[in-house]
Amino acid sequence: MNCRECVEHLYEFLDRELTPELEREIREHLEDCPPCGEQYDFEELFLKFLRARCRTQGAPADLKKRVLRELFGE
Amino acid sequence: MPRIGAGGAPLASRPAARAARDMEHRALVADEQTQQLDEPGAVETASGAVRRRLNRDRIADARDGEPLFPAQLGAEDRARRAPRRGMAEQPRQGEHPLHGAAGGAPARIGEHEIGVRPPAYQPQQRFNVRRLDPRVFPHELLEFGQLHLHGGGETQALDEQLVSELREPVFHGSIEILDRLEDGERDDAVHHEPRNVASPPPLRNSRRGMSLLGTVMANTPSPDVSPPVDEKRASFEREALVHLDVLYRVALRLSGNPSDADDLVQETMLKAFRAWDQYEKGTNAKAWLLTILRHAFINEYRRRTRHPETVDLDKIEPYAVFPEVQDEDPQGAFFDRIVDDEVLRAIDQLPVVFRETLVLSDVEGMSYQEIAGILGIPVGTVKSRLFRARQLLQGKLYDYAVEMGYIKGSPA
Repeated sequence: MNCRECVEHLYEFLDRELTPELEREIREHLEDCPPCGEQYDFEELFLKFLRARCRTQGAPADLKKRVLRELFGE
Repeated sequence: MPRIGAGGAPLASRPAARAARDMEHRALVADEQTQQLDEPGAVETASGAVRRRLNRDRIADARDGEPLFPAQLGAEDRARRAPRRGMAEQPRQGEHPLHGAAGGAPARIGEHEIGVRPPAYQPQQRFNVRRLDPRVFPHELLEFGQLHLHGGGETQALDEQLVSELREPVFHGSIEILDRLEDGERDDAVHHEPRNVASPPPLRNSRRGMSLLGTVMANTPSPDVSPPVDEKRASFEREALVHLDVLYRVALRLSGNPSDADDLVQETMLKAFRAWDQYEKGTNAKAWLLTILRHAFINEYRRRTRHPETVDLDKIEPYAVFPEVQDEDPQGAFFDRIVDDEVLRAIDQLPVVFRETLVLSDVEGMSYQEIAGILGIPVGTVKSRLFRARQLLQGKLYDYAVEMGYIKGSPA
């Protein structure tokens, strides 16, 4: 595993979409390679940030009522 | 190749024991057939034989709303099916669960068919088939894999050729299975008892990286089959309405404004409720609903936009932000200074194919496989779109942060 391969698979690694074998290889590389480790931290933070920023909003309070009214005439 | 071992099927009753022996025998036969396929021309012969078993006229009738397909699927069969979430157990793209990588070979009897149900095969019995994969839409052309219509040691196949003849999905139809195999007619299994009906394996649309669902149900002629209204409503509220927030968020990102998002969600719920009988309860309602929502959006989007987004996606060159900030802010602290609205605005500026992928993954936490199903694209495409979407978004946010003075940087 070199740095290029590691960075290439970084998102899949973060998304837990790799095979256990590849996941282990990446993890080992990240532990041994500070620059890749830094990039991992950066990307991880970015994804957490994204999720936190975008999930604050939910459906408007009356949307459920309107859906129920439409479906069941209430 | 999975084999039915001695302990494979619970031999509870005499018919069940016989069925298990039968299956074992057929596993051997299937092996032999596969070996024969190594010879040139064998594939054509085998598939031709399979095809002949299909009563084409009857299938054609399915176009007109008559039911199509196979076996009875009991509660135990459903329970056996792998949970939809995760999907790790599913075979890779291009590999039929019964075929392995060698497409074209006759289906082999594997673990999928251990759960043989005793009810007898009855000539002229009618079956309803309903879609197993809630993410496949009625108006999509479906490609079937092998379907096991009855346990006669033969697989009836709705192959691509046949499906292309049908031109349109036949899921909502039904078919009368009239042909009972004559004794000795390419039927290697010995039957003394009425034939058993094996449950079909989960189907898979290998070409499009999407799994087909499809449960087959015995068509009871009585109208009592559909659950009472209260029950339908209860299960809909329990499984569908709980995803209202997710649907609304995705709708908002897709449509770009609250009023359209409202309409989109309402339309989705209406369609979902109408199609609720086709959704296999307890599977992945969120993905099913999102598929409906996305279709509704695409239809509306196409209707409104005469000239849909013509962005050459390949020309968009995302640049990696990390190297830019590596020295100044490797921790990405500048992200924290960017407010919600700005992030959402940046997402909304992404081309729609990137936006939808990113929202499903990074906001709603769907797996690649789920996203592939919802968008109708291969998993590999999900990966590459996601990669570029994230890089593009980072670039936008980085530029914004530089502009706002959150970070010095060196804007491109």
